[in-house]
Amino acid sequence: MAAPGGVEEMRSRVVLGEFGVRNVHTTDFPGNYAGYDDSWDKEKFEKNFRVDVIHMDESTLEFDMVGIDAAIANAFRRILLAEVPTMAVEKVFVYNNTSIVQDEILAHRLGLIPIRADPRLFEYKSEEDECDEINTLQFQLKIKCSKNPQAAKESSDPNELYINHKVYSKHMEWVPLGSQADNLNADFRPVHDDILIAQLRPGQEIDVLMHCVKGIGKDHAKFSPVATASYRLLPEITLLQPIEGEAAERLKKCFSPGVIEIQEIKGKKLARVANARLDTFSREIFRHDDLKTLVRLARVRDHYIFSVESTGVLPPDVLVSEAIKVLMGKCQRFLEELKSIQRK
Amino acid sequence: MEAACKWRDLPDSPSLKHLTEPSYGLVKEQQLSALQEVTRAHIESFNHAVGEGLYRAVQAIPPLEFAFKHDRITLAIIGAVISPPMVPKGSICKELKVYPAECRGRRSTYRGKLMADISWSLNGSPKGIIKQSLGNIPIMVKSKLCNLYGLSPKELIEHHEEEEEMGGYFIINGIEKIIRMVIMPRRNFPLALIRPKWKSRGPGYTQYGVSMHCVRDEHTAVNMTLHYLESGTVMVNFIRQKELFFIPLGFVLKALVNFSDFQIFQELMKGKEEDTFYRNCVCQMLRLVVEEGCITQRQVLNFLGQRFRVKLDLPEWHTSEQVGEFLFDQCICIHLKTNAEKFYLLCLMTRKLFTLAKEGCMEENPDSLMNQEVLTAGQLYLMFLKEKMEAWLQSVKIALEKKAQKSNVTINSESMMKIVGLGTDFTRMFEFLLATGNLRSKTGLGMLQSSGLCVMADKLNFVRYLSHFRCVHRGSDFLKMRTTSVRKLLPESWGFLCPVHTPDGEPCGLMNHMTATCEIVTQPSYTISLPPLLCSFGVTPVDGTPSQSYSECYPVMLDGSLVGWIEKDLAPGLVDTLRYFKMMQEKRIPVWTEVVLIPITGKPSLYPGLFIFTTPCRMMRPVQNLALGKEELIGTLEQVFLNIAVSEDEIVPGVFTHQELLPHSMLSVVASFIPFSDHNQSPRNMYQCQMSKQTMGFPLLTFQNRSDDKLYRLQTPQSPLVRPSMYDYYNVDSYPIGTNAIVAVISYSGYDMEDAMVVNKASWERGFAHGSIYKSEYIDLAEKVKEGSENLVFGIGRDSPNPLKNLDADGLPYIGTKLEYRDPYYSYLNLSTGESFVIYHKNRETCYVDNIKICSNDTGTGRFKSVCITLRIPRNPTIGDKFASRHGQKGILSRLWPTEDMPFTESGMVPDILFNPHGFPSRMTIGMLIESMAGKSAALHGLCHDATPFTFSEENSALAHFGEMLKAAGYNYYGTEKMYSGVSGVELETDIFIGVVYYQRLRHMVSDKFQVRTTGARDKVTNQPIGGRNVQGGIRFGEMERDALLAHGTSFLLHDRLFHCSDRSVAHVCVKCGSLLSPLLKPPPLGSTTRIRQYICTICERSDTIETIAVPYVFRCFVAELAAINVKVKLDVK
Amino acid sequence: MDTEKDVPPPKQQPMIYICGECHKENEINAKETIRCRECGYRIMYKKRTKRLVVFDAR
Repeated sequence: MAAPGGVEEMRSRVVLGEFGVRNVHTTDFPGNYAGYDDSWDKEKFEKNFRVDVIHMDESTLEFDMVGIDAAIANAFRRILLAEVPTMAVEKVFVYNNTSIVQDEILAHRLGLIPIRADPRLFEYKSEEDECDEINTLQFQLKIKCSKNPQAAKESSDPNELYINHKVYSKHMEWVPLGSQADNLNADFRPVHDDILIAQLRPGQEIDVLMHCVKGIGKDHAKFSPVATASYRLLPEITLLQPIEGEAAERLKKCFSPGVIEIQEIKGKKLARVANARLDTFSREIFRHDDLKTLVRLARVRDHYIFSVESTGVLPPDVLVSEAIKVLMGKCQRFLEELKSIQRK
Repeated sequence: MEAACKWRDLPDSPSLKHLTEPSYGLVKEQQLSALQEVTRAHIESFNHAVGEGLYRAVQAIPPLEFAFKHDRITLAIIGAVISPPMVPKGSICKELKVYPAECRGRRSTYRGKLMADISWSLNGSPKGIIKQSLGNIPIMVKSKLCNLYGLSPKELIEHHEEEEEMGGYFIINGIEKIIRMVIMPRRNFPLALIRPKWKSRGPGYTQYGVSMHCVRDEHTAVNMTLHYLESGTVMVNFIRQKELFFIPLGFVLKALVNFSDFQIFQELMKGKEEDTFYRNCVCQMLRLVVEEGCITQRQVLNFLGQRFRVKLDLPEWHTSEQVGEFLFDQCICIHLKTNAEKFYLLCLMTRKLFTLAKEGCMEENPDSLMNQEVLTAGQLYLMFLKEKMEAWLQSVKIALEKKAQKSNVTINSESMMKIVGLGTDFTRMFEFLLATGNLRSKTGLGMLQSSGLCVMADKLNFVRYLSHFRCVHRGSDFLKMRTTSVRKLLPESWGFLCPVHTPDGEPCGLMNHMTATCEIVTQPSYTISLPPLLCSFGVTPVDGTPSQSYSECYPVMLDGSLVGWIEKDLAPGLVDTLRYFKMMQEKRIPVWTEVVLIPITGKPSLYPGLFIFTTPCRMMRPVQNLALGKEELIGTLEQVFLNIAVSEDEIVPGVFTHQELLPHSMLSVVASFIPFSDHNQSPRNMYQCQMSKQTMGFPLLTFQNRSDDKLYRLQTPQSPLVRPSMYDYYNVDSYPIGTNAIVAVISYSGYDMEDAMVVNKASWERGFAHGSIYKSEYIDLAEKVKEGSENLVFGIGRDSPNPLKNLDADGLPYIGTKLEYRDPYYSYLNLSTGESFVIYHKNRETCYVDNIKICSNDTGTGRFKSVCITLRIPRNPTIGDKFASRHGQKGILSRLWPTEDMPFTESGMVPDILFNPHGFPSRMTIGMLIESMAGKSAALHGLCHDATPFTFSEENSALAHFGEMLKAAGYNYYGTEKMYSGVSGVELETDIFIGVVYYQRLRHMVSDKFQVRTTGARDKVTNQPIGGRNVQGGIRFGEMERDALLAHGTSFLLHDRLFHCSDRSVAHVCVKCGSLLSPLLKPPPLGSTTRIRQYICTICERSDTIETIAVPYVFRCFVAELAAINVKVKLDVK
Repeated sequence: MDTEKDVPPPKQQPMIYICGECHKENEINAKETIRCRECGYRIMYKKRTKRLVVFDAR
């Protein structure tokens, strides 16, 4: 390896060239680089590692996770998607359904409705378990459409002509099982009230009972607590030379808004990287032959910008801490396994 | 058929507007004209057939005269009326009309009553008219006779039809049947042909001939050929009742007109006055007639009448002359009314024949579209109806004769009424024709084929349904032909037949589809005013003399009749005038007139002449007439002699007279649904045309009312984000056939090799490409003959063991019940014996009862005997199901990949489908790449992009257009994105091309195809495992597979597969005599206590020579069979 | 699937069929002719009755 700067770049930056990405993999294993002490050190890790919450509201969370390897960061992402449990409709007992939505489709649709129920209050139900208050939530959807006697004669608007012609998730009623009503002191219902389940016409009815159970996204997407959870690496844009004038304007256009800023210095327009974080890496720059050599695009390899969008079942921050708990549980189990092997 | 500007208001860019506007889903005032246009050729031809055509056909049927005892009876059909489908008299119901939905639901035939007026006379004195029903004949849906005719969308829905119901088909036993359009030779046009096969027609025959497909107004057709003989004479050949007849030309000409021989000679010589060889030939032909002693017209007629009497089946009191006249009326140039016209036409054909034989003109290609027309539904229907009416008269005659044999019949109106009622009924014959597509006909109706005339209009999806109506078949006889010349795509078919939309494989090039703009002439026209009009423009009538010599004149033909002659230099002017009147609709020249001037070139080119066609069944298409700035319909022959520019910039003034309306006007309806088809390699577009017809979609909106055997339904179809303008023109959004999917072109996971594709498991779980199949079974207890059909009704018997699960008190399953293999399906009782029967579900797939229709009979008096059970089989995608994009890129779902393992983009997007990049280089479906980019930009900007072919070009490239849009949205110009591996979490080293592509799910599903067997049924004779999926049979391990195992040297495997797992058996063989057949099991000796029985060889009479060997069971069977033919098989056992 | 106990035995329920044309509910006995008593239409649909079917919401 040539210059130490080159080595430093290789160790910490993912470089985006015109024809591909270099240094995507972590290479700072102990002993891989002469002159670097890469052995894992708890203190060093603790010093480097940090989590900054950038933005949070009831459904989304954006935070930075710095100083960690891709494998661990990815583990959080994967656990959020697939292993944090939630409650979802699993069995649908159709007593009557004369709507045009077929029974199995209705069941599938009901399954995908996010249910606001804290999964931590419930236990997993296995095949042989009886449905009880600790593993099952029961909902009922009983609705019948009829003609609206007050509707104007000339009306052709179904909203006016019929009563109950649109079946929404708000029509799902919680039917407490056992002591659920008094014990848990909670109100279980779908996260959103306005999910259209089916449309009815006079005389048609839907009468179903639903059983919600606890499950994980690995089993079925309906149990996944996030709409999406993903991360990206922190972009790093370096201007290798001062870029001025018209070229600066073009440079600005090559990036997402707010990435490049143009400063007026002595009547000259000078481009400056304002906020590289905003860039989406459209790599438009590489279509400009004169500009592409002046800019270095890179990413900080251990800086993960996480974004978690909850389906509304649980707040996103709770989801992340749940995910961490899941990972901790896994580690715990792994350690126990190791121990049990050592014992032998 | 107005030269309307319907292609002008083509939506220039597609939009999602009609899906989002508030009126979406509400019933429109009017049906969409574009869709109605698709079936128009079928409906209008049928309308004509049952209206004016039927009237003319009735008139053209010659009265049947026959002798009965000493009386002469004449029977004639003088009128026939078909009534719309009605409930039979005496049934109790509010609505007397029968609507198609009922016929589909009840699996009956949609038919109306045919009533005929029969007039009969005795010994020449008219005795009156009898009204007689000839049976119920199928009625085309939405035709004039259909009860849906002219109904508004709202009324159609009230009658359980689609809002956009197009009709154009028949309903036979609940199945929708279409009469296929078949290519026929162009009617009333003399074709110069060279057929080496003709040499075998007799001594002296050559390969030269001029053939004509003569068709009357009511579509009665007779093929006629003039053969050139080596001796320089001409034979006229025609077919009557599938028999070939030949008459020398001289006789025909002399029999037609009462001209002197010199006049005939002069007429024949017109335009070929200089040809001495021809002069001699003509003289020779005329001399031949005289040699037979026929000098006058009457003598010739008499001569021919005597010879043809046997074949023509006329009453004996007709004179030979009358017989001769009848022959000419029915067999020679039947499209012409007067004998003089026939004479002039035959003279023209003779001149053409000699020109051809002396290589003065080019032969015409019968496989070229310019010499072809189309057999329409109405035409076949009418021809068949006419023939059956003629046959009906015969059947009445036979019935009368039969009756007379048994008892004494006196002829009076009362007995006649009864006898007329004995005529054969049409109902079955029509149903047979339409149900099987097989033509049972005495005359053959002047057609080559007698099978494959009808096809089922299956509603697999809407695109397939549409294409049925636009399909034109070359004829089933060509399927078997070895030569490929008929399959060739000829330049003449440009604009009429789609070059893309033909299947590959067996019917390639034979089954074509009309372009979207191509129309078929359906009305006949009245051309009486045309010959005088032509003469007023300078045409010299046939009996006049033009100002120049005949060789400098064009013959003017109007619908196969020689009108006169026009001088060479006046002809182009006349053509322009006619074209002007045609477009301005003046002088009663119909817009569908085809004006063709085949020029005199001085070279052996096509035989020159000015041909005017107004006949129905021709293909026509609109193009822009540059001189008049209007749309003009041009025909297939006309197009060859016109200069049509495709685009504006191609036009060279003075050269081009016409311009195409649309750059993609050469594409069929289905082909024009392919986005960016101009960017794809051509065969891929062909594959796509096939595949879009196998797509699972949303075929109809009236699932509840249908009882089709199988209907596919995609649960969540979408409107494509990228689509050609024709997609909106035909409003396919009502019947969508796919879903927009996020497709990443990436090689990931290894499960995407060889056209396999990986689907995101979460997408699948959220409903991606979910679908179901509706299967209907019609159960009619009356068909269960063996159990005494009379008293069978549905129900559960008292004796039935413990109340049957799933079954209701009426013996039918509950609606919504889940049916599994061997669950009770339905149960019925014999009311007289009280016996009950339970039928079990035979399908191995789990299904749900969707609905049950209880059907009555036609009169509403049926008992609880016939039901239609519709089952629903959920068919969500499984590994092995087939998917395709709209670019002929099909793939198999190979794995549902967990979403957390899928690669994800910078923004967290996870693709639905992973498509292997190796699918692109060799297939060159650039259209798919563009669609992906376009779809992505459409999704980003909330647009809907136009994918009409030929809108982008090298200068204005699609890549630049969509690239800029992606750039504007902050994405990469080339449609790629950086992605992270879902497994390791690190960034992928390459950019991944990702976008939105409309994906279709094809109907080929593993659940229909998988075949497994461990043990099971075996063949009775060979003891080998049986084949067939539905009987749990095995898959054949054939010779090629055997060869493969041999080549690998895996003999144990071979032995295992072909012996142990097949028909291994242990046989006894006598080592001494080597026979497999002689060892028999000896009965134990009387009184012996041992149970052990011994084998003994019946030949050697020893038991110690018997050994057991393992042989295939078939071998034993084979030995026994050989023994039956006296061949002994001796085994040498060591 | 085995929760069918709460449904009354099927024998007692009258068999009801819905006319395909006028949607009137007809009670038809096994021995009667099939025809809508109201309008005479010849196709009747079996009515869905309250019975339990269990589905997996997948």
